[in-house]
Amino acid sequence: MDFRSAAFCIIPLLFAVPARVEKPLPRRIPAIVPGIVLTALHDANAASDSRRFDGALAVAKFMAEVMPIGPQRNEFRRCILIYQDIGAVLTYAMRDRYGAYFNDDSLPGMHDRLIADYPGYDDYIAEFRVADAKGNVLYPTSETRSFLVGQIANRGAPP
Amino acid sequence: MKKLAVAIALMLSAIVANAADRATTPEITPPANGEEFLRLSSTEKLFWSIGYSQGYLDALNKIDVAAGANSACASLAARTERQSSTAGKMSGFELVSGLEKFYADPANTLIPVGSAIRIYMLQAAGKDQTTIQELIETARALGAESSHRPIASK
Repeated sequence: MDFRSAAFCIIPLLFAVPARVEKPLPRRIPAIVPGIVLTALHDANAASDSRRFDGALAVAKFMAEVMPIGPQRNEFRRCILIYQDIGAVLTYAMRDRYGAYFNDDSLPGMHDRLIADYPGYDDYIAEFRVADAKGNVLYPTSETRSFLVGQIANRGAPP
Repeated sequence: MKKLAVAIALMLSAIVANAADRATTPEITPPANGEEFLRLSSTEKLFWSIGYSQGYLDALNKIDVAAGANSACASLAARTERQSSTAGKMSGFELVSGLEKFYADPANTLIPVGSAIRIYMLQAAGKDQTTIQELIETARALGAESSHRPIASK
């Protein structure tokens, strides 16, 4: 059974608890579960499947809320923050007619925020930016997503 | 001796100009299908899309010139081929975005780029979904046949 299959088996179980239970998840989550959720996010992004990505991201956020406080939770939350940025770019890329490229008009504030949050993004994306006939500078969503995935890999977290 | 020096200087300047031109223009191997298209960088996809649209239009105009304005060939080109030309209908940015979305479905990766563009243009024009799906299924079968691979199932 691969990670994705395992995720599809485990994730529904997380929600299959009676409504009257106040704490639906045990405080101690098996160490492998966050890795499975992050793998589901990674695979959904690699397949450019924004619906599956949104579902996995919702599960990941829910898990981060119920995980015990500690370094594992902190690392998991940092990965979720990066995946949130990936999700914003992915959703735009898959739903907008001109989704291959973005700028401040199409994704307001995104480029500036990526520069502020991720050192090296400005230099990296400079190589791929293009200008349209009106002189508007545009940044590719594909390379932006690749850069952000690299940020997660550099953290040493599961993919 | 002076002529030789001038010739060498001209040759060197031509080499430098050629190298500078190469540095700003990516060398692109035209993609045959989605697998190859998705391997290109965004800049390469954009350059290729613009070149494809322009080349397609140039080829259509040559049909008119070669066959004559009132020939059957020219009317066929006007009736069918011009409908599937992207030139003047969508920008390179839109074409790249459309193809990225089309090839995001793994079952479509073997579909030839020309077929993918036609299908995407019909989709963008609001053609009914049943016809689009039939065209996609046919293109998948053709793509799998041309690459000698079984059809990928979703």
